[in-house]
Amino acid sequence: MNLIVSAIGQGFLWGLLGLGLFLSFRIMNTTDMTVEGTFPLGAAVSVSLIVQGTNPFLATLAAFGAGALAGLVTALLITKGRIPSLLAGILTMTGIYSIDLMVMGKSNVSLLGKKTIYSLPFLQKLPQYFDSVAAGTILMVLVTCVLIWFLSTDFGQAFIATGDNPQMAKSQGISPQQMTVAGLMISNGLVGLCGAAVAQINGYADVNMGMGTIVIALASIIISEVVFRNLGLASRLFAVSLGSIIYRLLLLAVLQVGLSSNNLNLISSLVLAACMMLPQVEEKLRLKQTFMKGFKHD
Amino acid sequence: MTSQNLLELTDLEVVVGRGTSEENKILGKLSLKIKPGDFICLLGGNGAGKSTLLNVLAGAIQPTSGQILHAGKDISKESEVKRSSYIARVFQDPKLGTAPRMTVAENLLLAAKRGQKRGLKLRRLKENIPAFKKALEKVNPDLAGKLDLPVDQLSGGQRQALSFVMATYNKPELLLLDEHTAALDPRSSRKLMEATDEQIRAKKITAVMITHHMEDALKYGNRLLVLDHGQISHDYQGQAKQDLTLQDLAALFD
Repeated sequence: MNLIVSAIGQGFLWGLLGLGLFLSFRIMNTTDMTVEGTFPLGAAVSVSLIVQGTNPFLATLAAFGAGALAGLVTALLITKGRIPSLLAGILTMTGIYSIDLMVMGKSNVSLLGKKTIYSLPFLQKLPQYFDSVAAGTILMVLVTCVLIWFLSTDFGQAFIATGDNPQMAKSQGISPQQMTVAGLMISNGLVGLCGAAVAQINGYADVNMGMGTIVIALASIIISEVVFRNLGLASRLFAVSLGSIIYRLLLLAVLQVGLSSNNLNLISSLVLAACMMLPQVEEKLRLKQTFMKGFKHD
Repeated sequence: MTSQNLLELTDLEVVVGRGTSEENKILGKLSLKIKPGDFICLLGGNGAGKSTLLNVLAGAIQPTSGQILHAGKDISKESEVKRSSYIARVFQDPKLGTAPRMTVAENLLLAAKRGQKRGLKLRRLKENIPAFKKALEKVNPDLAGKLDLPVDQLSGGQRQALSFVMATYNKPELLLLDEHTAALDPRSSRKLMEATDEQIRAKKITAVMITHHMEDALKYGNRLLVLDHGQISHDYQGQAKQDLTLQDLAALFD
């Protein structure tokens, strides 16, 4: 039971990562590798600040800012440097590794005995693991609502249109470059925020904690799309968090079966690959069904 | 004198691959004055430079040399994004003019703010629906009932009609039509062409239209330009254009 509650809490928190990547992957139609660097960056910045005595909420906000800055770097590499987006993300991600070490001074910093965003009195009153569920839910609802508002403003609509059709955007007076900058900053800001939230619930920041984040983020998006089909944009954003929870529960199930946690990255990749191939497989199956039906009618 | 012209192109040159053995002059010393209210048909063979001229007007291609004056102001270096506040465009490819995952109404809302600053104000889609319906009914009545449909579910003809309504929703100072009916079936093509002509006359829009149909070039517009090897070889205006026959035009392309 505890394990399930913990998985749901983690699912909500990691859902922020999915929301961040949803902006770049689904709306802007780019695969932004920066997130592999932004996630530990958010963790490193927030944990280092908290250790030095900064208010945990300010530290978490700073993690958003740091993530947004990383997104800005990638965006400038793409728009001004004319570097392909995939490579630009990899460059930033690789560079951030050194920044993380600079920020933390070592490869792992613990939060033992420090106040975090989970130290709020009302969260402390909750039974074990429910604090992450409550905090995760609050964060998820807050971020999702802000995103829904943002995407329905004139600026947000221009942002969506640019991802859909950059040429059309230009002829409507929308600068695709400006949208790339804004999109990657917000997206990576959210990923930094997620890094801060996860580091604080786990009680430490580690320079290697970014490995595989993009797969986890994509998994929550794709799982949500496979499980909940044909949703409008607003419900889709909420569904991404649910996708993240389902993914956590899947991992839990796999671990319960007896596989070692050393296999997690392999399992994550397999889960994502399977989900991404599902529509194709299904199409073939459905084709078969219709053939069969046609047969019966004759 | 200059204030009478909407756009004044002087000695425009577009050269690609300059300094290499592949150097190719697409437009050569082209000069053209576009008056307000002109509806210009642009004819010419493949490679004559029609699309390049349209791209230069839209700001998608920067001229290698020469000058473009808009109401007396030099806009040769102004970007496509900036020019969108007074120049609108319909592409040949129905996919280029609309955002596929957004609905018809959402696309129109984007067009209603063409070239304007887009801030963090809520979009106010519902208030605009009646006006959108009205605009669509004039060009393609089928579309008026499909405001909530994502554009990728429309046919090519419907998408192109929507692109046209979007380009003219806020009257542009100059409308660029790049063979905008060429990708459609004959019936949709004729319907859109007729609606185009009607709207351009009703709203008194200044337009430049590329076409490969000599019949259309004769039938529509008050001015006909023939482009050849990057230069204007013929310019028929007013009465001279009306007197033109299909035989005259066909003779030009033999």
